[in-house]
Amino acid sequence: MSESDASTRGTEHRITYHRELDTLNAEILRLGALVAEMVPRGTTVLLKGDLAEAQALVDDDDELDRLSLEIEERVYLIMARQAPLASELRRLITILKLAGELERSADLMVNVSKAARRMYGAELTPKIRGVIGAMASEAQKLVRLALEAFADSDESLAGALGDIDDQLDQLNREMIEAVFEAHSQGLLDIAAAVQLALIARYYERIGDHAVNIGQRVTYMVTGWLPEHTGALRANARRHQLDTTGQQPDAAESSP
Amino acid sequence: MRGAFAEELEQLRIQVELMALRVDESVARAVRVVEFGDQVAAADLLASDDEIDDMHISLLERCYELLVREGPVASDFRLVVSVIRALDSLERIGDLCLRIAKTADEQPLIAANSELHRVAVEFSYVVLAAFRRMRTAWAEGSLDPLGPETSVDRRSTDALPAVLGDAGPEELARALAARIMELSGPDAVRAGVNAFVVCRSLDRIADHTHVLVARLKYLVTGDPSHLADEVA
Repeated sequence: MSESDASTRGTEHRITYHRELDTLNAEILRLGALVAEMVPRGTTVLLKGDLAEAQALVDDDDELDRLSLEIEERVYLIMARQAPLASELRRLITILKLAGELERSADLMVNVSKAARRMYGAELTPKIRGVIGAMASEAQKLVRLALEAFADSDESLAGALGDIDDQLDQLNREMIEAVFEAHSQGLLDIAAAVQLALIARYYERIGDHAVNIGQRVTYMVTGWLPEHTGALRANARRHQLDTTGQQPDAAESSP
Repeated sequence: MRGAFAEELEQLRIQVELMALRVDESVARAVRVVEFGDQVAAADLLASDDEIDDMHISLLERCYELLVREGPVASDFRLVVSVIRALDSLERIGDLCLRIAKTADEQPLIAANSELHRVAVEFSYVVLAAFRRMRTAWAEGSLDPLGPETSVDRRSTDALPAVLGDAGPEELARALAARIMELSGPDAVRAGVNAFVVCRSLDRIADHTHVLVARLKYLVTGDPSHLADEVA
């Protein structure tokens, strides 16, 4: 093979590689968009008692699971075949993590739909309906912002997601109070009350996953992994144990 | 060169075993939290989760490095990818144990309802036993330790959907559902939510154990149909 043939082949190889990366980016964003759409769908199931939509959402989740696994497999193949370096490798690892976070967010909306089926027929107070609507809106906003941060490699937006999530945490507390109040007034039976308290957690955890995505985007841009915090704590504990022979208070040093 | 790579793969396998051992300790501590509201076990669990995160990161990085540096194919590629999946499941199991640890303060609410408590404790032991069989099987690289009970384990740990009204004949599931619905009094919702969180976490641990079993079956037999269980 001549030098020019090798060069042409190398260029073609790089073009193919970058096309694969672009496709993966598009696929993970498509997965994210589908997950973001599941939030209002699941909320409609809950507020309107739409059982047909509940089943459709559960079925659609299988497709999202498949898409998520497919993305992961392709990332591993690219890693093995293309030997990406530095920033490209970080992007690939971030896509892997995003696939997991998004897939789990979709699972949470499936949980909401299943919970809605379990409490079918229960009358929700206006206050509870209002908080559910607000939680759904916040959760969807967080997922979209997290995806935007990834698409734009926006470290500032990624870092702000934790603060934006505070609103969802506050709504979760309001929801729990509203559920307890309705139950104590005899407006909700125990089964529905338990389900609603859990539904509030599901929305809250979707927000947590969005924050995790933000942390992954920060890693993609800067190389810092959120788990490093726990790993550093573990190393600090080992160091203290080695040097003083004393184990620090685990509860104090944990999240 | 390939000999060195084979050695690295073997080291990776051993490290996964070590991480599984750490996670096993977490599951056992979670059982103590469920059974006794053991605050020491809860605190130990919190601390050990950092160790698990540490192992998770360093092993994942090693896997990525092997993929990029060695460009493995066929069975070597399958092994590295399977290890990545196994690491993710183990780390998630650790997180789920953490979720149980965080209910330690509320455990007396569950324990105050003896039947509800009994069912939750039984559930936790079923999950621990299933995890241990899986761990032994991974350590030995053999399906034999799973025994004929694997499918039964999965049925019994499908408890939560059944608890919540989906189809499922399991006695454990029905008992748990019935106990939650019987709760009354000012703490009923809190007790019910905590019991649910505990059992849901146990159920998810069982799911991840099932994923680990599926991965092992894939590795041992090379049959990709086992991977369908990962999305089931």
